[in-house]
Parts: sequence; C-alpha cells; structure tokens
Amino acid sequence: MKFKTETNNSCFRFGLCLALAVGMLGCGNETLRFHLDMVWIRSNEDPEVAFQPEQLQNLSNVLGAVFGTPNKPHVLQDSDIGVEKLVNRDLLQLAAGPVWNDPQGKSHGLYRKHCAHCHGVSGDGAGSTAAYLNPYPRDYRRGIFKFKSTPKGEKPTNSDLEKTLLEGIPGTSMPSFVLLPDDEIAALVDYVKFLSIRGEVERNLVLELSDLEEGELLVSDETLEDGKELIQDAVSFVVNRWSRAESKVAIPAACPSSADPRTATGEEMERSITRGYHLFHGVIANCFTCHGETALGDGQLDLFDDWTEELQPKDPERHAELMSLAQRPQPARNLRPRNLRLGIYRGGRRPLDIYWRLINGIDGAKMPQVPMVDPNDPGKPGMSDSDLWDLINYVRSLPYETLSRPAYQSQTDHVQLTKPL
Amino acid sequence: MQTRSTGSSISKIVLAGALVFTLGCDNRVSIDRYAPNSQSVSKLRSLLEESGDEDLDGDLDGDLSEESGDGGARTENDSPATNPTGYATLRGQVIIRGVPPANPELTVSRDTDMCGTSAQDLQLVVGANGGIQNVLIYAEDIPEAWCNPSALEVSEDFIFDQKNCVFLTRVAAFQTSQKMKILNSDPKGHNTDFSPRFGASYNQLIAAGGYGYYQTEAEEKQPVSVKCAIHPWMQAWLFPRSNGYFAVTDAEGNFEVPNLPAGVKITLRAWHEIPKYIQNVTVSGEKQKWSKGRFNRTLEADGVLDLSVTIDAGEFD
Amino acid sequence: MLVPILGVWVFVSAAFNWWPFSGGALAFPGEHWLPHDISVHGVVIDGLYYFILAVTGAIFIATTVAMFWFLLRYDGRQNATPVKFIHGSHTLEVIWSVLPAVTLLFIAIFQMNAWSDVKIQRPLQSVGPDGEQGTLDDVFLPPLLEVTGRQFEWKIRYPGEDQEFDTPDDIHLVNDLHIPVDEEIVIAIKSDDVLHSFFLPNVRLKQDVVPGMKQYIWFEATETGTFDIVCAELCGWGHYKMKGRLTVESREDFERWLGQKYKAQETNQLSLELAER
Repeated sequence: MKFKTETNNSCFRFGLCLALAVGMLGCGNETLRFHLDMVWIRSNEDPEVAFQPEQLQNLSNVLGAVFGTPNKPHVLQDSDIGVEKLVNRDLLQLAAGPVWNDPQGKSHGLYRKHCAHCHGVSGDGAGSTAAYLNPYPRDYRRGIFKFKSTPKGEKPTNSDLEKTLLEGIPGTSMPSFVLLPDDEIAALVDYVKFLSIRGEVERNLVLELSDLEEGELLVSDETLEDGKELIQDAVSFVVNRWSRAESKVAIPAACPSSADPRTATGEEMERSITRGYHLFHGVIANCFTCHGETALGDGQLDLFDDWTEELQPKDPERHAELMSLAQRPQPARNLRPRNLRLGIYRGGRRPLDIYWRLINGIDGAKMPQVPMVDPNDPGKPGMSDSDLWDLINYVRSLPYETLSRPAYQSQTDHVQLTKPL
Repeated sequence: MQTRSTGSSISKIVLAGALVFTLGCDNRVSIDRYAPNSQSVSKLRSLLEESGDEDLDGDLDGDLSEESGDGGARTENDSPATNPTGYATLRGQVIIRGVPPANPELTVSRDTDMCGTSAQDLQLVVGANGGIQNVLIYAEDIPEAWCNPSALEVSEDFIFDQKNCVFLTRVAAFQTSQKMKILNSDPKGHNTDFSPRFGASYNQLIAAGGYGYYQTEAEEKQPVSVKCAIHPWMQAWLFPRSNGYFAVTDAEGNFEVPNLPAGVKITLRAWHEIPKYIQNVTVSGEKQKWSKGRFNRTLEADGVLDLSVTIDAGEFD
Repeated sequence: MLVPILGVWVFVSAAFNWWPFSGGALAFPGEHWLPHDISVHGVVIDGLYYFILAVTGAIFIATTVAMFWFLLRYDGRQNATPVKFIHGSHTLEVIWSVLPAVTLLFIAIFQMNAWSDVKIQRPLQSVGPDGEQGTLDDVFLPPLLEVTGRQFEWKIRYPGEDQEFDTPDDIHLVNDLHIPVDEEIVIAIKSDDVLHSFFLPNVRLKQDVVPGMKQYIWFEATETGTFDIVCAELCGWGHYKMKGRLTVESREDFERWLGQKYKAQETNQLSLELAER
C-alpha cells in the first residue's frame, strides 16, 4: 500500500476524468433525431445548382413540425388529412422514445428495443448492425414493402405488417417476434407505418423542392398559404395511399378441390404439379427467365432492387458518394431471384402467400404480376385461376422435386400450354 | 519506476476512453446537420394545425385569418385573374448545335436470337437536319377551365408496343383519360415496369403476343422511367397528363402543340432524357436560360408561335 | 478480507433465505434457487447440483474459517514467538490430494447414470427382433420435431401426418414449440449458421447446437404450462433475441394445435385467414 502516494492518486483521478471526458465526446452532445434522407436529396439536386442550406433547414423544420422527434413523435392534428386514423397516438408513444419499463412492468421504447439497431432510428435501414446483414434491413422511407397482400405501388395492410413481425422473414436476418404481446406488435406496426409515412413525405417534399426555383423555400413568410397547401398535399397524398390499402387486397379465386393439397388425391396433386411445371417454363408466366431453368434462382442476376438501384447512377464518383451516404459498403449487392428449391419462402409458405406474390408481383424487387386471361377476349394469352393454383402447387413442390429430373427440353422449346394435361 | 507505472496507467485509461469514444457512441450523427429548429417547428405546427381562431405569434402569423376555416378556393387557378381570349398554336423545331455525343453501346445479355447481339441505347436521336427527336414540350398547370375541348376529350387507347427488345416509343406522353394498351410483339415474354409518383404503379408480365392495360387516375409532374426486368437494357419514358398540351419532337425535331389558351401567360417546360429539364437554350439566335426547363409565353388568339430552339451538344454529354 | 466474509454470507443467507435473497431494501428480485423443474430426469440433475453445492459449500466455509483462525491465532502483535517454517509435510500432502480425488471420483461415478440417461442412451421405440437392448437392431424413438437454431430465432419443424421430415406436409413454425405432457420426447437439433445452445431451463436440458451436425435430445415433461426456451451460447449480436416458448399440453390439445397449424399453413383463401385471427 505504500506506493500509493498523493501524487499518484490525483494522477489517477485526473486520468479517470480525462478518460470519461474523452469517452463522452461525441456522445449526447446531439440529441437523437430523425435524419434527412441525404441520398435522395443528393440524387434530386439540380446538377447546376445545389440545394441551399436554408432550403434543407426549412425542410427539416417542416418535417419536425409534422412528425416530431424520435422521443416525441407527433401525429398531425388535421382531420382532413387523417394521420390519426392510421396510427394510434398512444401506441406510437409506446413504441417511441428510449427503452424503459414502467412500474407495472410494461415495456416502453419498443422500436429502439427491438428494431432500431438494424432499421435505424429514422427507419432508414442503416442501424448500427445493418452493414453486417445480408440482405440489408428494409429502409421504410420509400414506403415500399415487399411482402403484402396488395399490388405494387399500394401499401401493405396492418395484417401484412403484423404477419411479418410475427413470423419474421425466413432467409433474412428479420427474426420472429411471435412472443411479444398483441399491443406491442400493434404499437410496432403503427410506428413502422409512421416512419414510412414520414420518409415518403420527406421524399415527396424533396421532389417538390427540386421543382422550385433556385433557393426558394418550401414554406416561408412570403409563401405561407402555398407552402401550407404544398405540405398538406404531400402528407395527405401518402396518408391516402395507406388508408386505401385494405381496399386493394387481392382476393384469391377459389382453389379447385383437385388442386388443394388438403382435398386432392395423390394423383390429382401430381397432375396439378405437372401442369404447374409446364406453366413455370412457359412463355406466359415466364418464371424460368429469372428463377432459372432449374428454379435455382440463377436466371437474372444483374438487377438491383429499388432501394439499391437508387444508389447506381452511371457516374462512378456519384455512385461512390451515394453508397457512402446510404452507409452501404461497396460493392452494391445485386438482386437475387429466389432459389425456389430451398423451401424458404420469405413472404410465407402458405398457398395464399404465394398466390399474392404471383398476382401482385413483389414491389421493389422487379417480380412482375402474372398476366391473367381476359374473359372478354379469348385471344389474349394469360393464366386462368386454376392455372395459378397449379403453378403454386409446382412451386411448393420444388424443394421436394428430385434434382435428377432432366432440364426442361431447351430454351427454344418453351411451349404455351393450351390444354390441360 | 513509480512515475512510469502512473504514466502507463493514465495512458491505459485514456486508451479505454478513446475506445468508448469510437465504439460506444452513435458515430453517424453527422450525416446531415439540419436539426429541426424548435421555434420554427412550433410555428409551422400551429400553421398546419390551426383551426381558425388560434392567434399565432411571431412572423409566420402573416395573413392567415383570411382563408382559415375555408376549405376551398386556395389555389390561384380557381379564380384566374384573366381568362383566355382564344386559342393558339405553339410549334417549332429543336436543333442540336455541334457534334452530338455517341450513344452508349448496350450489353444484350439474353435472348440474342430475338433481341440481336448488339444494340445502341438510343438516348439521343438526331435527324439528318440536326433535329433532336424525343424532346418533350408540355404546358404546366393549365386550369381545366382554360382548356380547349380538343385537349380534354381524348379517349382512344394509347398504344405502347415492344419489338425485338425495344420499346417502340422511347418518349411519350398520354392523357389520363386514355387507357394505355401495352403490347408485346415479341415471341417471348416481357415485363413492363414503371412506378409513377402520383398514379398507380404497374409491373406486369406481358406474355408473348399478349397485352395488358394500364389506366391511371393522376397526372405526373415528371416523365416516368419504364423498364423491363427480363431485358434490363430496354428503356422508355412515359408521361401521363390530365390535358393534351404536350408534344414530343419527331425525327426532324419538329413539334406542335395546338389549341393552347391564348391571351394568358402560360408556363411551358422542355424535357429530354439526358439533361432532363433543358435549361440552356438559344431561341431564335438569342441565348436564354430556362430555369428547370420552364419558359413563359403569352400567345395571341388564333396565332401561331414558331419557336426555333437550338441546344448545344455539350448539354447531352 | 471482505471477499471471504461476503462469500460465506452469500452461502448462509441463500441457504436460510435471508437478506439479500428475500425482503428488505436492495434485495435480489425473484427466485434464487434453480427454476421450477418439470422433467422426469430433473430431480437427479438438481440432486447432483445440490450435492456438489453442499460439498463445495462445506469445504469453502471450512477453508475460510480455518484461514481466519490462522490469521487471528498467529497475529504478529500478540505472538512474540518467531515464526517456524515447515518445508513440506508428506502426510498433509497425501491427505489434501487423496481427499479431493476420492470426492471427485465419487461424484464421477455417482453421476454416471444421470449423464448416460440424459445424454447418451437415446430412448428406444423397440429393442428390435433380437429382444436385447444395446444391440445394432435397436430402433430409436423417432424425433417428434426438429429445432434449427438460426441467427436469431429457433425454427421448429414437425414432420406432419406422415411422420417423415422433408415432405410437403411438414409443419414449419418459429419460436413456438409445443409438446405433449407425460411422454418421452426426442427432438433433433441443428444449426443453420453458428454455434447456438438449445436450453430449456425448466427441463434441465442444455445442448450446444453445432452447425453441420444433427443431434438428438430427449426428455419427459410432467407438467402442463408454458416455459422458456433460450439460447445459452453467445451466438452474435442478437443472441438475447433467441427466446422461444415451450408449451406442454395434453396429447389431445397438442394434436388439435398441430392440426390447426397445418391447416393454417395450407390456407389458400383470405376468408380462412381472417377467420383464423
């Protein structure tokens, strides 16, 4: 104990303080906030005239006014716009803010507890663990969700988002949250919707900004009424899209009992699967072009999904800049058509889920809707309802199909199936 | 000995602190430096949420009370100061000055039997006379009341075809009252994929020899890119509009927009695939700056305004 | 000085349920003994734990007391007699080597059956035609389900009606494991990516899950209810997320539940999906 002199002690204390001071630098000197989508801002900048700092500050203020902060999200009080009909204020507050438990043991700050480390505080899909994941976490701000019951361009329903939370997304890093209580799931769904609305409104406002004259603000004292209208229009446009989601759900046609695995005989199932096999390789559904001749997902490998495509301008310098703004490591990852032989179905394995993938396409991921027959025009090539169920049965049988089955004759022989086999 | 041990312990602590600094904090905070300003936020919020009887303080207060509580009559176009005196035609020619840059070569990665082995990305098509094809000229924000009936009542299908892995219309505008019929004249499948900002999105597989229909409820503010995921090099641009005041230049660079409202100031915009909005032009020998592609004209009733536009080849690099 | 005193206090207060293990300010919340046991073999495992705890506890307290006694007894201020150094004592060394060795050997032999029952002797469906156990024609009890660890969830697969895995009627679930009560259950465990450890605290079962290796675990639950599944191997940043739920229920309930899950997996109509909710 003798060596601990006074000098040593004060040195030690000084060192400790210094260490703490160094450690705290950069922490907490800026409060947590929603960030601007700099990728989108940069991509929509006039090549000759950059956005002025005042314009972006104005944009940030507008977004702050409409959506609040991560600790105190705001639901715009305007019944004509109706944000409050989409997201529940109390649930939103339950999901927002820092993580804590109240004396009753109820969890608060659910988004930061469960989601933010991948999806980011702003919902930009660039949380601290995002860079290590493949595929990258979803950026909600585009307002595009892949696995839903509605077609491309429409929003997912509450139950679509719930399903993703409850079941997770197999084959990705999105785990299942099936053990969370119902109100927590509802709170997270509302918060994800809120972040998505915020992000999409921001994108639309940036587009408006890029259409304004040089240096003009979205809303200023001189343009009060026009600015107000512009902001209201931008918010209500996105809100309307979300409100109508429920009415856009694709309702599947009845599945004939001979193609329903629960009722069909073994022989009927086999016939259905064989028909599906021909449809898969036919020029109406064209599945093979992307998913490959053997359904291993190797048909079309050089595309990007909508989120990554945005980071691919032709100019390599600009590309590098956008990649780093988006916090995505190089090189950008290509979009992979699903390998259908793995038995991993990201949007769910139920026939209903696969029906939705086929009839709606996959938003953000290039998968198109299948063409359907037209009852008024017998000449139009397309799929009938029962064709769809056959194709679904074939897709669902692919993980069990023997690999020694010879390849479909050849690429030039892709036939159009006209008669049931 | 003692001093050395003290020094090393301090350096260890500082090192640990530095570690906390680099690992423990959100080191991405500085991506944008535009934190919302709380004063402006609350002002803007009361502006957006004002119910009519709230008195706002500060300089954003302005002249809100005039229109508060009044849902309609917000836009200037609903009560135009003057009405058109008649209709006039805008026509002209878009010419390139200088040597046009070569179009990039495309990689045809599949279906070469149908698509050919090589193709050029026809971004810039210049006619023998130097006329630039596929320049889009359109009138912006024309109130419906100003429109000539001929600019509104178009209902025949707008045909959009593809053959040999090329969209046969590279740049086209059509009216929201029209149905768009998407054809596939190839022996293999294509998918036609576009995502307008305001209208419905579309991504449907068009079977060989088949077709699909698209109809949109809203006009767009900018042309929409059309792609095919099966043949990713295919490219076209579509522009749904609520009226017929648009034109796309032909192979000689000529365009004509008939029946434009005359006697009132109208805003026109010029767009081309490469520079997007065309900003630097020479009109009848006079250099002009069309900011964001916009130029204003007031036409004389029953008159014809001839516009000779020259654009430097450098704009298309 | 503080450490041995605290150590002894922890032992004694835990045994008699004194502060900080119950009541008072700053007391530890919750149960501090082993979690509620619902398995047949758990009583043996717990017995072994408590036996080892008692033995080590007794030795720990005895050693600490001896150390204190020496500290006080030979305090330099009270003892004028110079210290006498002893260079080795053969007898003492033999005693402190042999005693622990015998204890360890005892524990090793004493627990052999427990280990073999829980980890080695996989339950049999039948002993095969030769009527003898431990021969090559023994038929193992097939696994009721398969659990696959994945960053960061437990994928669960039941073989479905045909009792065979890798067929179209397999039932796929996540984090939600159901089993019938009072039956010997075999579970096949695998990993998709990294090392995980499948841990059922209430069943006293913990097994590392190794990528590329299929292992079998077995147990019999004696009580219905819902219990935790956790991952007991730091498997990545989301390790804490790998929580699951074990539901033990009657055979009828289990089969009804499994039937529902199969029906849900084959849903092809929206109305059916809505009815499920």
